[in-house]
Formats: sequence, C-alpha cells, structure tokens
Amino acid sequence: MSSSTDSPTLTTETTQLSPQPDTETAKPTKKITLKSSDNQIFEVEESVAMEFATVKSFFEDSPSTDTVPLPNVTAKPLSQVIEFCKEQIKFKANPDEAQKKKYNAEFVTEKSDKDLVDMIPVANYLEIKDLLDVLNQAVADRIENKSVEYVRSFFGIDNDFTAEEEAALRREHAWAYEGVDED
Amino acid sequence: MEISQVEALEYKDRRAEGLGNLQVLPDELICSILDNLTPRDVARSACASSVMYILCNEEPLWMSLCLNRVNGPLKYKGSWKKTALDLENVPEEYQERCGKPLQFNGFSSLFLYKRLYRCHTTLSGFNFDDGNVERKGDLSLEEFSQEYDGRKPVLLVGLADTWPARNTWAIDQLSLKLWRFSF
Repeated sequence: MSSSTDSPTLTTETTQLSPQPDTETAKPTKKITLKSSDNQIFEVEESVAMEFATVKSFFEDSPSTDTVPLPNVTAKPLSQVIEFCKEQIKFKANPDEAQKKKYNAEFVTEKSDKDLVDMIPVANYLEIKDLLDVLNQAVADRIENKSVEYVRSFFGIDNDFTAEEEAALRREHAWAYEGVDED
Repeated sequence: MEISQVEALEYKDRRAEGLGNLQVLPDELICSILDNLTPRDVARSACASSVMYILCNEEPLWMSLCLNRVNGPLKYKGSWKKTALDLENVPEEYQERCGKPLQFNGFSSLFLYKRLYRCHTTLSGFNFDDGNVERKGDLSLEEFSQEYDGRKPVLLVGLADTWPARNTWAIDQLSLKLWRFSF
C-alpha cells in the first residue's frame, strides 16, 4: 500500500504522505512565515500566503522552505496587505459582491494617503491584482477634482517648471481648472 | 559645439523630483493609476511637473480615457487627446492647441518607448513566409508530431477559411449593413 504510486483515489485524507506543494486543499491551519525587509516576522495561514502570486511561485520552486524573505517589502504595508487578503479569502469562500465592494471601499477609506501609495509597490511586487486595482482607483479618487497644488503636495512632487512654462500650461489647460475643490 | 556641451551638462534626471512619492513605482503602474482619472484630472495633473506632463500627454492614456467614456459611435479627431477633449465638450479654442508643445530632457522611460515602438513598427520584418516553408492543410496531430514537431517548420493553411468574417467583413457587405456611418 505504501508503495502505490498511481492510485490517488486510494490515499486517505492524511496530508503527511503527500509532499506535493500544489494542494489547494491542504490543511487550513498550516502557517507560512514571511519576513519583511526590516526583519519583521509575519505568520500567515497558507491560504492567505497563496494569494500572493510571488510567494506562491516561491513555494512551487522550493517547497521545503519555511520562511519567505520579502526584501522589497516593509512591515507596515505588508501587514495591511495581509489584512486585505485575509478578508478576500472569506469572500472567496462565501461570494458576496456587495459585501466585498463595501469592505474594499472601507479598507481604502480608512488608510492615510501615504499608506495607500506605500501599499501599491507591495501589491505589485506580491502580484495581488485585485488589491492593485483597488489601490489605483483609490489614489485616483483622492486627487479627483483637486487643484494642481494639492496634487503636488499629495504626491510630494516638486514643481520643476519655469514660470513661463507654468503660465503657458495654465493657459493651455484653463478648461480643466474651472470648478476644482478647495484644498 | 559649445552649446551642445552646455546642454549636456544641464541634463539632470527629473524622475525623482518630478514624481515625488510615485518614484518608487514602475512607469507602467503610474500609467495605470492615471488611467483611473477623469480627463479633467489628467489635464491638471499634467501641470504638476515635467514628468507628470510627459506621462499625462501619452496618447494611449487618452485613448483609454476615451474608450472608458464613450457610449455609442466615436468620432476620432486626429489624436486621442483631441477626441477626449471633444467628448468632454471642451471649448474649441482649447482643442485647437491641445498638442504637446513643451519638451523636456532628463526623463526616459523604457516602458513608454516600448509601447510607442509597438504602435509604430511594421511587421514586415517578422514575415518568414518567403515560399521556403512547406504549407499544409488539414494536418492531423499524429502527422504533426511524426513529421514536423521539432524537425522542420510548417505553415498550417486554411484555418480561417470558414470564418464568417471572410464574407461578412467585405466592403459590399459592410456598406449594406452600416451605410449610416462614414469611415
């Protein structure tokens, strides 16, 4: 029995005999350790870690590792990204588009401008497409109908135009300057 | 000679100060954030800095702004930016000078360059069908793996012969159906 090779239907529920890494049905209690660039340790459930395409392929390449180093990711945005993915897992189990939309909206609303911008490279590096879409839209929403000065301070952009260039741009884009919000 | 030397010395990398907090993001991510803005917001963001000006004047950006908004037939006005301004009912005087009059050095983007290149390159250089490759219709899988796979090149022919578009997309058919539209 132990030498059976091609009869997967005969194997029981026990997972210790099956070392293949691609089992989506692996025990939900399995933990995976992520290490941020500032050496913080995060223990997350395997199902959450598998939401990160980068971590997933890391495990497919080297299934025996127990700690995944994330050299491009600091602790704070990582913890927020984990929080987001934990919720998405629940929505995967119980699809509820309205609730998901509500959660996604609340998730970004309560974040500071800096937190939002800091999370984008993390979501990009970990390849979490849903989160990236949510963040891109949220950043766009925050500068919607804002003045140029507001956009500059929002992103920390230096005005590198000469006075003549800026005056020309204002003339050229005057139609877009009408009716912007107060800063 | 002297002038070009002086110019060369004045080149500085504008990316960091021109993008602020966004500088950590790859260009393609910044472009996808901009995709979520409204045309008016894009026009104002163009006035934030030289690098934003460049990114906010990209035709592919204005194309997706148009296509996200348009509802029904679209009249292309010679450039996507102009088309978008027309959709927004921006006064004619602005549409007339909506080109990209300012030029800046000190910013280069492989992403933008590749996208531009793809739009303007011809495919003739990639055509390998100069009569030397065998043409074969109705090739079975067995025959393909025995005769060709990994051995010699083959061109599969006739695959599109049964496509309805071969008849329905001909000029006389189209003009019969879409006579109301001018092309």
